[in-house]
Amino acid sequence: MTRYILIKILRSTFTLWIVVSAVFLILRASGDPLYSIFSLGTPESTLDVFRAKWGIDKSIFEQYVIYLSDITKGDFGTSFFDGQPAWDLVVERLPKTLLLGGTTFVISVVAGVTLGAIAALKRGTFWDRGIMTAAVASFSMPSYFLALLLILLFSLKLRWLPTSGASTWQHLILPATTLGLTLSGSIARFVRSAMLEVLRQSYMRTARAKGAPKWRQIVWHALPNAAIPTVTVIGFQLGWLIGGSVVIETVFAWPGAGRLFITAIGLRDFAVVQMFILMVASTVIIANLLVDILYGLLDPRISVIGVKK
Amino acid sequence: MSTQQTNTAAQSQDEPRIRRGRTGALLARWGLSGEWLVTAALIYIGFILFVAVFGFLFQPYPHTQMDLFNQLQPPVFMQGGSWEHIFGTDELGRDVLSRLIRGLRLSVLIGVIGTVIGAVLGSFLGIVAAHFRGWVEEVLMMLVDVQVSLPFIIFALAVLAFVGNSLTILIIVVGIDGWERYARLARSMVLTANQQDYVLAVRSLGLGNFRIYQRHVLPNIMGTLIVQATINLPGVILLESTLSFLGLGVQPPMTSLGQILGVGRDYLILAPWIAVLPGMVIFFLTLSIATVGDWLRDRLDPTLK
Amino acid sequence: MTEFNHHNSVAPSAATEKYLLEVRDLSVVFDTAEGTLGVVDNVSLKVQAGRTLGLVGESGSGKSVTCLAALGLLPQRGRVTSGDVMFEGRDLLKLSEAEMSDLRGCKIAMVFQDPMVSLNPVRTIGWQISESLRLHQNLSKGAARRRALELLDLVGIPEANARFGEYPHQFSGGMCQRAMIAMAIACEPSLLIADEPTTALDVTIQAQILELLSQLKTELNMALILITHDLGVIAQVADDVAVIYAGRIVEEAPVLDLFDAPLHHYTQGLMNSLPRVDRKVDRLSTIGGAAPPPQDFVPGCRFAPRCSHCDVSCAGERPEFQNVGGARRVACRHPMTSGG
Ligand SMILES: Nc1ncnc2c1ncn2[C@@H]1O[C@H](COP(=O)(O)OP(=O)(O)O)[C@@H](O)[C@H]1O
Ligand code: SF4
Ligand SMILES: [Mg+2]
Repeated sequence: MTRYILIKILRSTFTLWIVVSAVFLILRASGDPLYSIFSLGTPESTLDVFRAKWGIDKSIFEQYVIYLSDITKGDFGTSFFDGQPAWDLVVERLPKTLLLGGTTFVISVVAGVTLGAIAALKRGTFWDRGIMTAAVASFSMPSYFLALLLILLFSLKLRWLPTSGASTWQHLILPATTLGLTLSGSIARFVRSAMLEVLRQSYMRTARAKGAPKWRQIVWHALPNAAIPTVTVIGFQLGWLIGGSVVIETVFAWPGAGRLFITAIGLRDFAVVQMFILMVASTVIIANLLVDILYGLLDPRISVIGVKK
Repeated sequence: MSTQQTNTAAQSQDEPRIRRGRTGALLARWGLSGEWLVTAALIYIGFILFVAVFGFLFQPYPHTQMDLFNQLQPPVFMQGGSWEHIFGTDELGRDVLSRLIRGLRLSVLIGVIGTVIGAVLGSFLGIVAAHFRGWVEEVLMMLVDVQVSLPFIIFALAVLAFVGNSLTILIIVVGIDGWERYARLARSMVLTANQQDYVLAVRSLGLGNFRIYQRHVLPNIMGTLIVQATINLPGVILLESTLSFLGLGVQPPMTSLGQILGVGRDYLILAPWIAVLPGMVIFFLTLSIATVGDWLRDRLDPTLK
Repeated sequence: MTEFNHHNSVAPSAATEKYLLEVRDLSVVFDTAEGTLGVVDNVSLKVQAGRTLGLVGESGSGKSVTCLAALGLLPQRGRVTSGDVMFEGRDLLKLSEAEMSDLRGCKIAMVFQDPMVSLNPVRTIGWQISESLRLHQNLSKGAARRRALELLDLVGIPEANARFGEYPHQFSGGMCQRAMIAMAIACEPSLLIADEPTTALDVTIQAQILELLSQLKTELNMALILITHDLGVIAQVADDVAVIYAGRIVEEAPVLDLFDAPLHHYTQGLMNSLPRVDRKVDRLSTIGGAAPPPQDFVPGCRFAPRCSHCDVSCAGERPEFQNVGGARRVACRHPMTSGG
């Protein structure tokens, strides 16, 4: 087990390194950021001072080596703008992002799994068709458009909920609903097909033949099997959720890391952008690692943990 | 005897339903009878394509023409609207219908070209990986891992903001989205196909690699790849519209549906139609394509998920 | 109703008591894309307590569907269109799902063809056996475990204690089938239905499983319905035999009588294809062709296209059952005479 996990961790670190390097090179190769930060006509001598200060007077390769060695020392660069460490800027925004993302994730998984299971169990009925149509609609809907419609209805017309900000729990409702609708739609669709697959397996007939009541067949026999493929897919959805929250945080002026990112790219604030991307990629990679382990725990046929005594 | 009679009676009762007329026959031939949602979706897609290609012929005004006396005028179906601007005007008095037609054209163009780029690039890499195996395959799978670990929209936003923004760059960025899905699919299908007896047989006949792929492997995996492309298309359209909505996609004076929406966002109270109309157009377009994609998959290739 | 008359030749009232299970005129259809297919057609079966009924017929003849229908386990597209299934004085087809749940796995248990996929892959063998006990006998967890260990022992799974916590993929096919049997007999049912219990197993294992079933049947005094496509299996374990062809029972007889002198040409065909010591199997002399799918059923005798004794009278109407001697019945217009 340790060996398997070690290899996985090594691979993941390698992947992360490639992501960071690729993003570094693409962003740095895009030209001198100073020209977009300082107004035209700023004397070159002034610019040179800043170039030296931020270390962008060296060649890209040198900058890259310095950047990597700084990272290993825990230094993720400083914002071009307010001179604060990029790490602090991003981390300080994380709680809000986690609040929004976490709420959305939990609600979507619960709703998606429930609706998907219902659709599978009521296959071909009105319920099935209704849930599936709603699911397809929910992820065909541009999330920012859905956000605007919800704002229009609940904030501007009905005046029930605030449009932007994050000071109260009411502020959470609209952004979480927007993100959650799309996410639960795609989870529901997947759970439905996983459940249908499980329901036609022989062991489900065995469960019926041994006299297990309906709910017991579903909860104890079907769901644990359907969970195995579902976990992988939900793991992949996490990346989608992070991407989606960048957009939604912006629309609702939710003061999270995603909004910081959008502001930072507007300002070409290199260190902050790089920090955010590093953070996102590590999150996704770690999540996938966890999914792998969870997969092994859920499916006894895969022996991640299964080194026999 | 009596059973025969009832049979005939039943048949004659059924007859009107069997003779479906030409539309019915056409629907049946395409496997569409009873598939009302799919039929409606296809009709909508056809309409959108028509507008995207020929819409300029009906475009009432140039999409950039301002009418400073008629700013934020409501559409004709709302109070205060007029036939002059059927879908109303925006904050500069530009005709929303004209902008929709223009924006639609660019959105569809970027969506389709982007999808083709992703499909061709991904499939090619997948085939190459499956052909050479070994380290080539390793590198490709690693690239797939890399792609999967960074939500694409974040990558796209960063690149567009830093590298700068032209239509070409936008199309390329949007096109890269989803390549890894085709690559995985093509790789696994080619691996399977290469094990098939007939391919082994042709190979032993000494047919060149290129020929084998062109004649025997590609035709077999093409259907699945096209279905996958149909399934990806809505995502590509949504990506472009999101980027444009955030101001990093299509830049003025060009316009796309997402961009119109991005502007409309600031006038949500005063002029909701500026945002709602393009939003509806996108929504029904992606919904239609997704519906057709699902239908195609179920018909042609139930193995895809 | 008139159509069914010929089946009611056995006096209904008094006779019912004799049987543990009596299936009467059971018909099952499947709603498919090609229309409604009649898969099982007026099938009647009788099982006496403590005896073994062998149900034999080629693959696709409706053996599994008949038994699944009797237990209310038909897949969604299947439905019963006529008949009743009497068990201990109750018609199973009229029971509610809850009542059936109480009965299944308790009074009537079933063992399926492919043991490897019939066990839940994410639950331990022990858990799955204990579940039957907990469902029907209200045993505590510990008591269920002790009983399950006994059962594992009973069905011949060595080192029960160690294997209790293992998963189905850690078991061989034969061991899985033993576990399935343990699960089925957990509550000492009065009837066990075994649907091709040995078909998916190696030949040597097949014999062991059949041996186990006969032994358990005697020990627990169960009745057994053994479904198979193999007359050889019937010869080993059955007391009575019903031969099914294309969704209809074509012959019923005590096992010795049947092997002594088959009456239906289909039964004869099945027998000719059995390997025997005294003569080589002549593949050509066995029935040609394959059992027809429901779409291809012909009117009249459904065996007619493959029967060498077929004449014009066979094609018209369904051949009715004729009682021959004590417990024998055959549905054929020109049954084999005892001479051959
Ligand atoms: N789920 C189903 N849907 C449609 N037809 C079915 C289904 N299950 C069984 N059948 C049909 O019922 C007939 C009998 O099947 P079955 O009882 O399984 O045969 P067997 O005698 O081999 O057990 C077959 O012709 C099969 O095509
Ligand atoms: S009824 Fe006729 S066709 Fe059918 S088995 Fe008897 S002889 Fe053959
Ligand atoms: Mg069967």
